Amino acid sequence: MLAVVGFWIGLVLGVVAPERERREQLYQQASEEHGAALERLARGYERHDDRRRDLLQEIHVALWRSFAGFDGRCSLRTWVYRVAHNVATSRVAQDRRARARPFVQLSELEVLASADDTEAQVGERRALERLLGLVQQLPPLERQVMLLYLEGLDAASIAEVTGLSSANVATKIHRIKRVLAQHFESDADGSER
Amino acid sequence: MSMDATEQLARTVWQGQAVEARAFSQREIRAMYESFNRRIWWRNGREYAAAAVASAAFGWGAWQAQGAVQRAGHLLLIAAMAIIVLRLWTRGAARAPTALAAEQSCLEYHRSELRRQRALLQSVWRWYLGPLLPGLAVLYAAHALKAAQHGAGALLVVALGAGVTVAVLVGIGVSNQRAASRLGAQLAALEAES
Repeated sequence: MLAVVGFWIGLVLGVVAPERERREQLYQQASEEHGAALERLARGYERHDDRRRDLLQEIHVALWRSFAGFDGRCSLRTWVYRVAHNVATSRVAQDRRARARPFVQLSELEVLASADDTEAQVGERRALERLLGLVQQLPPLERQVMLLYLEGLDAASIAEVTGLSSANVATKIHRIKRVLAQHFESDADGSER
Repeated sequence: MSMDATEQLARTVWQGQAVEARAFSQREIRAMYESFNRRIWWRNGREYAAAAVASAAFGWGAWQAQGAVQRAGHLLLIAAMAIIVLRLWTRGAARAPTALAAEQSCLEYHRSELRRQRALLQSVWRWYLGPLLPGLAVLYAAHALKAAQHGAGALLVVALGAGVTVAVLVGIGVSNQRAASRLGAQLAALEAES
C-alpha cells in the first residue's frame, strides 16, 4: 500500500515540479528580455501612475500563468506581446471612463494634425508626451500596431502578434509613418537646429 | 525631414524612455495573483451579498404578506434572484487575468471578448429583467386588488408605481441594447480588418 502511495506521490512530483520550474524559468526569461517593453506598453494604455502599476502587475500575473501552456509554437516575444496587449485591451474595454472617451482612428489623426501641433517645440520630453497622446487615443488594434511598431517589430512580426493580415499591417504602418511625420516634423527640425 | 527620419526619431524617443524593467520574484507574483483572486472574490461576493439582502427582504415580505397573491409575488421575486445569481455565477462573474490571452492573436481575442460582452448585454431580458417580471406583476396585482377596495385614488398610486417600475426596466433594457449595438459596430469594424 505504502509503495503504491509512494509511487503516485513520486509521479505527481516528477511531473508537476519540472513543469513549475519550466514556467518560472520562462517567466524570468520573459521579464529580463521584455520587461522594459512591457513597462512602455503599459504607458501606452494607462496615463495615470497607479492604474499603470496595476495594469503592469496584471500583465505579469497573466504572463506567469500563461507559461503553463507555452508550447513553443510561436516565439517567446510573440507570446509575451499577445498576453500583454490582450490583457491591456480587456482592461481598457472594462474601464468606463476610457469607454466614454471616443477613440480616434489613424486615418482621422492624419487629418487632425493642425498648425497647433506643428509649432516649433524641441526636446524629447515634449516628443514623448506627444507620442503618448497619439497612442492613447487610438482604438485597440491600431494602438497595438503602433506600439509594436514603435518597439521596432517588423510588419511580419506585428501581423503574427495581432492576427491582422500582412497587407493590413503594411497599410497601417504607412498611415502611422504619415501621422508621425505630420506630428513630429517640427520636433525633428528643432533637434536638428 | 523625411518620413524615415521622423520614424527613427519616434522610435528613439519611445524606446529611450526611462523605465524600470521590473522582473517580479516568484513570491511577489504569487502574492499578486492571490491579491487579484481576493479582489475578484470580493467583487463577486458583493453581488451575491446584494442578491442575498434582496432575497431576505422579499422573504420578510412573503412572511408578512396579507394574502396568497402577495406572498406568491414575493416568492417569485426570490426565485428571480436565484436565477440572476446563477447566471452571474456561471457566466458573468468577474474573472482573474486569463492564461487564454496568449492562445489567441489580438484580433481573435478582442473579437471573442466583444462577442462575449455583446451576448451578455443582449440577453439582459432573459437573465436579469425577464425573471423579475412575473414576481413584480403578481405583486402589483396584489397591491391593485387591495387598493381597489380603497377607491380610485389608491388604485392610481399603484398604477403609478407599476408605471415607474416598467419604465426603469425598459430603460435598463434599452440602454443595454444600445451598448450591445455599439459593440456590434465595433465587431463589424473588426471583421473588416481581418
